[in-house]
Amino acid sequence: MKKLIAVLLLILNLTGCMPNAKLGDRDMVEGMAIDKSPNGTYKITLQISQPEEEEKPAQPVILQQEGRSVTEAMAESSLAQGRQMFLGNCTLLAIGEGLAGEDLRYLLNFFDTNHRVSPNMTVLLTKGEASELLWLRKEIPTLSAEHVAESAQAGRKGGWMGYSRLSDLTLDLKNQNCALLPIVTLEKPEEVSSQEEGAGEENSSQSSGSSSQDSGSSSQSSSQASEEEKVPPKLHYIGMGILQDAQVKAVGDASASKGWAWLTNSKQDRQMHLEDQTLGKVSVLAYSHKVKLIPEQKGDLIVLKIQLKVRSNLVEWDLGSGEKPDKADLETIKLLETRQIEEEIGAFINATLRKGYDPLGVGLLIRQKFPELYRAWEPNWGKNLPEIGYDLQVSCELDQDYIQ
Amino acid sequence: METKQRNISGFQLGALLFISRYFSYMTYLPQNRTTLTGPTALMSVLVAVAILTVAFQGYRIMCKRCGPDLFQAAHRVSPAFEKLVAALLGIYALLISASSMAQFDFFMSSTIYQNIRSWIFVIPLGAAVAYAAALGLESFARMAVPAAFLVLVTVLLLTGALAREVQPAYFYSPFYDGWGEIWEGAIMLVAHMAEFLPLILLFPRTGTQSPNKVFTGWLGCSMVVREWMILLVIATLGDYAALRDFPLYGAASLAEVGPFGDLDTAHIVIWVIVGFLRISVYLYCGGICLRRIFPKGKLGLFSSLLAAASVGFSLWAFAYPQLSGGVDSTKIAGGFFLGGTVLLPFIIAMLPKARQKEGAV
Repeated sequence: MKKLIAVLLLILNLTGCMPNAKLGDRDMVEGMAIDKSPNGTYKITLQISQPEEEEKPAQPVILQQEGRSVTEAMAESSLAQGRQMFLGNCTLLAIGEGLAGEDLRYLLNFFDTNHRVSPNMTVLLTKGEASELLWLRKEIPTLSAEHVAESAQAGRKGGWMGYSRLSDLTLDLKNQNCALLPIVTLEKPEEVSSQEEGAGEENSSQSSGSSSQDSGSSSQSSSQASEEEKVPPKLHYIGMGILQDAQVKAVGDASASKGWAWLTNSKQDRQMHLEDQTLGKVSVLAYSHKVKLIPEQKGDLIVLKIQLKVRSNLVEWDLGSGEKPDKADLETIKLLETRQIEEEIGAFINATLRKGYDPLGVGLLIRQKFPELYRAWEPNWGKNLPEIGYDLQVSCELDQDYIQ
Repeated sequence: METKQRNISGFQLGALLFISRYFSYMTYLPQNRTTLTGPTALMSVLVAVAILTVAFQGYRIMCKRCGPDLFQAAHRVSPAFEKLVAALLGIYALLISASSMAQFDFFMSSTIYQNIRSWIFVIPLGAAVAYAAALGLESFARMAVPAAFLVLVTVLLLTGALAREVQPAYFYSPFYDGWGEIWEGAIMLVAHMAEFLPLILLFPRTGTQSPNKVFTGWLGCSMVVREWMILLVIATLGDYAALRDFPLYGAASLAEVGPFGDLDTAHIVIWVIVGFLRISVYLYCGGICLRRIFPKGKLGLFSSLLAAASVGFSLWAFAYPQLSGGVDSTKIAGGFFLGGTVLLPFIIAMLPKARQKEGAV
């Protein structure tokens, strides 16, 4: 037995550092951006972390290479740096607008089959070049790829989008042939100021709620602005890309993206600004929600019942009278909240399901409940999906702590 | 090296068979069609259990009439018949150890270390399993108990870690693809149930007369874990599980357990332990078959020869995957299963000469 354990321990070494590379021979890739180059090849941009030294702070290295495949571009990067590119720490994958119309299967396979890549890596679509997201670190050293990934997670928790992990993307594409990805954009200072001047309430809340990280970058930007009279760009979540057959087929706006967040059972703290002429202005924090999707057959029609229960807290109010809200006010607030959530979910349904895209896996639910019907519908699922009816039942509960 | 035969307990044998079966859950490859995954597989497993219970009756009857030792019963028919039986079962054992080594190699060099030459894995493994088989049954049978415990702990950890990744929408009726698919899945599962071989060859070493307890304990435990694994993989990967290589590994890489990170490393370690024990047990079975043919030969030599043949097969399988795939086909595996472990014990039980004389032990 002892001899056998010794032999087994030797064999277990097979699970260790087989492709032996010293830490110093590796470049730790923090973030990766992929764009389409003008000559049709993949242009990858890598943000590589550098160890901090005692006297000088870490200086990020941004590396750009082109290749006919991601593998080739990665090999070129390794050759250029004289080091192996290690993707185990890569937290962000940004895909540029130029690739949006392309079949992304080839690209996603690289990440799916590479066991060093974490399935929890954040994936984002960018408006414009994805590489800009990584080059930004040259301007703002604190805005690393990891920060952008954390910002996306904060965006999800803030109710601005659904999941955006590599595993969600892969599984949704494989199981329902449709997936969603958040779209981010870098807004240059001029754009920000012009938009802020002309934008309505929704837009301004969008920019403030884009994430805690985002506001972090804004504070940094103001301090830098005073020093250099230059405001760095801001990161904004502007909507969602709808992928079908591993290709971005359509986009949904920010409102649809929020609707997506309501329809995923992930923990979120969504701050909502509600306003009414008779009520005044209030802010509520929706801290818990639970959604159930139940397909039902009503005659020849399939109806998807969407039951959403939301619990919120009143966090800020300006009712004009200066008093605390009373019971009637709370009812109005609940009504306003319900209406806004219904609008967001409606925007989501119109952008996706009504157009024949199934990121929610409605087909899977129908297969579960009405297998025979699904079997008949499956070959033409994209055309049958818009025929489904929707019964949206949103119920909002408001904590009564503030009642007068 | 094994100097004298030592008995093992029925529990140790059950654990060894459980480990061997667990290896096949870890090695699902959609292109091999050795088993199904998806909700249909849930029903296939239940049907397979029923078929296996019937199939086991051949050996059970043999135990009652001729005693548990297949070789002794065959010897009573004629020494030449004993050698023929040993040759048939020896080839079966070699086939399983060789295909297991090839699967081990494929997993390591296709999924874990994609740029490493396959001989780096199989040659050390071949040497280790040959040594383990030469040490004798007792050594690795004893190791199987903690290994089985480790496997169960990993299954529990995996379940806990994957709880938040569960997607109820991925489930659908196991009858969705019809009874034809369920039957096909059950037949594939039964045909690749190679554990009947070590069960029949090693059961006499437990020193008990009735194999029912070992069979029921092993099959029950294995199939419960199998059903659980199928559920877990469907719940987290959905239909994609049926399309991707090594779906259990895929699920493990999704799982995160606190500060330990994801469970894929634990999965690889379990994989090595399970692979090591499975190949060792089939090499040992092959070795004892060869010893029946060449009684003066040494088990160490036989296990080394069989290990070398398995390594050779694995390297060949890696170089010519299309050719080697047929070796693991349902027809070949099913033929050996049916002929060697179901019909053969039953035929021996029916032969009057094979019967144990009264009072003989």
